[in-house]
Amino acid sequence: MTFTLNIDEEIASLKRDIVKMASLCEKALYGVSSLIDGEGKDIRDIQTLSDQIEKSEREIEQECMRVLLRRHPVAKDLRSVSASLRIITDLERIGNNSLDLAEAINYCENRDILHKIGLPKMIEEVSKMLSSSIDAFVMRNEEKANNVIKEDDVLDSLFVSAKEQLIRMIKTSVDGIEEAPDALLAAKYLERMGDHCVNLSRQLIWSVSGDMNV
Amino acid sequence: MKLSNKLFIFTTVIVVVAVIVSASFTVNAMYRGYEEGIANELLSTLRLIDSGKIGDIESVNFGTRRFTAIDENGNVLYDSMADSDEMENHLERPEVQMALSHMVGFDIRESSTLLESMFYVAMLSEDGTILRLSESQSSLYSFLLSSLPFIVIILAVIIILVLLVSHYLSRKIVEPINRINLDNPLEGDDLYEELSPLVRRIDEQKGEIAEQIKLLERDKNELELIVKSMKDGLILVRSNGDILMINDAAKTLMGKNTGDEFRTLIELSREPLFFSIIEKGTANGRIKVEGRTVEVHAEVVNGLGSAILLFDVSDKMALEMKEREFIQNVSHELKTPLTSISGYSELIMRDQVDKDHIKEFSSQIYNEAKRLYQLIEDIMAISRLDEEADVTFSDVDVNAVAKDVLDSIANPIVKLESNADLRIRGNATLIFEAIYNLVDNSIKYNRNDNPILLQIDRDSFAVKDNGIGLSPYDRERVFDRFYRVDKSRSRQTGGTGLGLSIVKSVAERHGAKIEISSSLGEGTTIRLVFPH
Repeated sequence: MTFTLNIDEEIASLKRDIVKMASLCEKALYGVSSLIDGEGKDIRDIQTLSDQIEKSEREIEQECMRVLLRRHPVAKDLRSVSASLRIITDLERIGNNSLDLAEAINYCENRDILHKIGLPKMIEEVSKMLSSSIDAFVMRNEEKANNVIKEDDVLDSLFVSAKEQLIRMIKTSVDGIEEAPDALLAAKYLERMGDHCVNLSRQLIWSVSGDMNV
Repeated sequence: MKLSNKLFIFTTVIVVVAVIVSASFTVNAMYRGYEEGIANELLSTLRLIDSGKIGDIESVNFGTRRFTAIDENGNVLYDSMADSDEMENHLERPEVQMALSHMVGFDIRESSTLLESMFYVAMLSEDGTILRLSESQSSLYSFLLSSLPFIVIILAVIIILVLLVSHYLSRKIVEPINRINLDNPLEGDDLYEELSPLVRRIDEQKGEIAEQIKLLERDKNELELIVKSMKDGLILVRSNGDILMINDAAKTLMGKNTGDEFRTLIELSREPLFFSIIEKGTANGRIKVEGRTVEVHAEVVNGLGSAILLFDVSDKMALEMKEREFIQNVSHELKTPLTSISGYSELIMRDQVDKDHIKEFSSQIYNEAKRLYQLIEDIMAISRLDEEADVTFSDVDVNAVAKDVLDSIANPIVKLESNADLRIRGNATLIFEAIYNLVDNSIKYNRNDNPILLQIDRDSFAVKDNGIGLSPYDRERVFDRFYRVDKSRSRQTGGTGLGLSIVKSVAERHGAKIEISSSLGEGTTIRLVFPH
């Protein structure tokens, strides 16, 4: 860590580190989407990314603590640091979920079922939400963050329809489908990732405006 | 400190000091004159007493004054204020001593008898008695005190006047300096001569500065214009990642709108490459943005930040890829006939072929050599088309060229159908090559000797066949270099896979459009439509 005298500089550096961590999450999710298309992309890559994300979380957490203890930030600065602490938790969960998702997808011998329940569409949706929420974080843009929160409804309905589709498939299936539990888990992981994006956006809005009632 | 204030204070102090000093001298002189007057008066009084006209001395009221008579031995004979018997010897008194030697004596001192500062005048009378008259000095001071208010009033008036005048004067002196017009310092004629070199210098430097600013402005505009019209992206960042400057090309290359504002590099992109620019200052690499490849070079500038250059290299990459593919294809295609040639000839060389097969093998060698020759011809033709920038254009009679092609092919199944007299601006050799390749292709992929029609219309010519036809997939690729629909078949027909790409190059050279209609098993029609 470079020693700086200015709290603004320290918070800016904190923000950079968070964005870097977030870009790792984006990469992990991108890796998952190429996994589903069968374009190679080893699950080990996602494992490495997930490890890196966890490491970043610990580093940024320490950084936040250092700023809190040494600078005693107040008002907006305090909100920034405290929001950072919660944002990295969400990002870490997203990274972890990406790995779980990749594993669930890997268990599915037959990837067709994933396409049938619209998993690629869900991944696309989550990627969009993640990118938008990071964009919102980088530009401190409340409007974008609010859009992410609204976007979650789309993801939820995608999850519900995936679940219904699975139920139909189980009912009509003759040979039985072993992939159904993993497919449902994968969809649920994606739904959880969407929730984390929403949390992230809420934290951002709070740190910018101090408004808790979003 | 303001100059006017300084002037004001200086003049005021000088005048006030002068007034006070002169006043004190005047007062002193007045005091001395008064003292002398008192001495004379006291002396004349003593003379009057001495003349004896007063009579009984003891009945005289001296008021505040004190009369003393002393004999030549210093014994006090009479004193108007004290008892003479109790008084000590007065011989040693300075005024007495002075009177004894000079007839008259003066002194000012504290009286030991009355314990009061006294002014003494003594006189030696003719009978040797010393007469002394003294007056309290306080009467002298009271005179001064009585005139003091008057003096103070005069002083005050003078000082007030001085304040007013010096205030006015200092303002008056400073005014021309204040009036100097800094935008045009030489105007106005009431300027002090001492200031004129300074003012002239200011005027000159003002001109120089204006000139410099103009130059800077021009440089700045030039730079801005260059940066703005650059096709490559340029970003200047501080070492903490704040963007100092970004041109529109950079925004476009990063897939953003030119109207958007970016404060930091991470707002622009979250590529790992950009993080390493923030951390290390330098980075080189390629990133993918919306399907395009962008090359990024970042260099540290003065240790303050970095300059990042962005180039769109997707076209270059595509071209490089195409070239690599072409070379790979060429070498592969050249190797295939050579493998056969060297294989067959090796067998013959080692005498491993019986007499009956020698003829068959050598005809194979001959065919492969011919194929190789054809291949090299085609590759040369196509690279000529690629490289030659200017081919000479003249009026070409397409009908005549078509006849030449039919003559050289000499195959009865090819028929010419001329519906119009097509004359174009072009190169006859290239047109010949195009028609030849089209017809040749049709013959190679013909079925059952179906007739092939070379049709010439008002602004186009076409070759129609009833051959094997093309699938939609093949239709898209048949103009690619070395692309062959059916590899095993083209080995028999001796195709090189370059024929149609030669046609395509020729068409591009002439600005002609290629229309292809074909379906599997129903034959193919390829038409070249020329612009008017």
